[in-house]
Amino acid sequence: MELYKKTAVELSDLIRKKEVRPSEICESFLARHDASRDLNAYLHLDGDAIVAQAKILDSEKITDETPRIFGLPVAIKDNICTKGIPTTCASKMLENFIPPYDATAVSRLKSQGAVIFGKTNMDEFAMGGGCAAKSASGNGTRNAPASDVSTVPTSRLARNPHDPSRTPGGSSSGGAAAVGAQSALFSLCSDTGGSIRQPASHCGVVGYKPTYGAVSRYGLLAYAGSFDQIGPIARTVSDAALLASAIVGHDPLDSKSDPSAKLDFSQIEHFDMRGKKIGLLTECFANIDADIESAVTNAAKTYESLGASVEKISIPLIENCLPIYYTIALAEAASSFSRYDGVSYGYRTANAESIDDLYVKSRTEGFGSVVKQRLWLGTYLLSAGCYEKYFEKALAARAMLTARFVEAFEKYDFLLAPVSPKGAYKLEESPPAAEAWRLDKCTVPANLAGLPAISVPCGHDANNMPVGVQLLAGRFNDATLLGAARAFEKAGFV
Amino acid sequence: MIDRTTFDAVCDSAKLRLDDDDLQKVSSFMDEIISGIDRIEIDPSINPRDMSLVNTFREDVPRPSLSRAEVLSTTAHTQAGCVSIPIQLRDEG
Repeated sequence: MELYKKTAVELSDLIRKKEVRPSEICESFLARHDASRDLNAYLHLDGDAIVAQAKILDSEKITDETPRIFGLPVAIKDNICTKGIPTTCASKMLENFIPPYDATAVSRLKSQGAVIFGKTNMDEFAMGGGCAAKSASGNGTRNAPASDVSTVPTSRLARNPHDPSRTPGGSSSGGAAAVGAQSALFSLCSDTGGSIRQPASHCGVVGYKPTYGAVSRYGLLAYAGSFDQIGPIARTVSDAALLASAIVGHDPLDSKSDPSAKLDFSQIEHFDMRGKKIGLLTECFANIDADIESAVTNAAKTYESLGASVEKISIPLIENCLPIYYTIALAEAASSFSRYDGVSYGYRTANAESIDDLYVKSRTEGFGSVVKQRLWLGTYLLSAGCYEKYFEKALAARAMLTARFVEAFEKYDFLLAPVSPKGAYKLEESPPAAEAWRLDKCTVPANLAGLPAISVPCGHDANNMPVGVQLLAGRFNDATLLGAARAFEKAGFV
Repeated sequence: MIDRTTFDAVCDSAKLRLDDDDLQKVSSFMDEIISGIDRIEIDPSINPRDMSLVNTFREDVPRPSLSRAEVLSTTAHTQAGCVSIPIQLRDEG
């Protein structure tokens, strides 16, 4: 039985019926991984340790109370701390970092009997959207656990399972590639400006960013703390719900974790779209490729056929969401990345003569070009004069945008938009930096407003590469969001 | 375009060394960000502060945490149970 071909829901049922053992499932995925190593989906994968974890679970008693995630392997993005397992953020800065603790999401998975299945490739410190990192550096820094990230060969880049000459997207490049290649059942990833949804769209899988505050960020190595959110990449909406169910909930270790965060996904299979109202975010349809627009528009028609009403809605501030997002995100990064100083963990230069020299050389040698440029930008935006003129204005604009979304969800149940304005490009044809950051324009609005959002496969582009449609809902309406996504999936467009 | 003096001053603040190629790239990216922010008209009634946050700090009481050995396991530069750094004070005589 080729277990790797089955969904998480199917495998969970088989475990509960005692028809398969967790170790059999893991061995099937390890064999599948062996056949797809060229995709560079993983940065760290210890097959012996994975099977050893699973064999311990093989002997555990299965009851009606056994969690749905029990015995299932979960790949983890390499910016989420895993105790005793390298967590590098694909950076020289952390190439030898082995966390002494688990992220809350990981500890919750472990406590419910999930198997930690390898660490997946990514853009360095999650700074990239499939090409931003490469083009901003001019040399390519993506997915590079290398000693010199400015000269990383393309052989280390994660590749798209549908066409290995193309990008899988980013920053969760490896997580999406592994799920798309079926070398992972599902993966736990992070989304700061679209890093779950965009690669999921490019790889033909489901990517779900929960409401900000629904999943603890404790142990997620921060890019921009007011945006970062952990969530699943999975083959189906139901699988994404299964994984999300295991990690949501309040965590006192995360000050932004919402005490009222209780999400129940048990009814998503029966969600009825009849009478639901969907708004098409017109600003997200501007300047997108015709084949992407066609696929997403067809998805809207599918929703109409399911009984929903669909009409256009305009939120003009979305046209400026990229500068708002980057102003705040880069400022937050400049602040939080001061922790990487070469002192108590991470890369330390061998040639420091003073403590200041230690800071400067460790950071200059340890970070790749894109990260350094973004930290420079964030530092500039926080400098005297710029802080008041740009950073505070961006905060006000973010509040305005959030208010516009609140108004929109008084009228609509869901908002619908493309995930990316373009399909997966060839790795050697990355767009220039000036264009690259615009690829985030459809995904950052949900991060700015803290909304739940999901990418579901809806068709193919002119190169026959997968295209996803994005659905957004009001804060903590995650269950209805996944219900609507599942309804679309059941309509037969997977 | 960012001038060289500003560029170097921000490098100092960020504890980074960047080169002329980086200067070109951050300048063009910054121009796009700033022009975008300048285009936005802010509703003067908007308060950008999150007023829902009352006290995000926990009670100041001890609780279990990582051991010293676990914390020091993340660096190879230790001495006498502490993290070591380059010598800061030298005997000039």
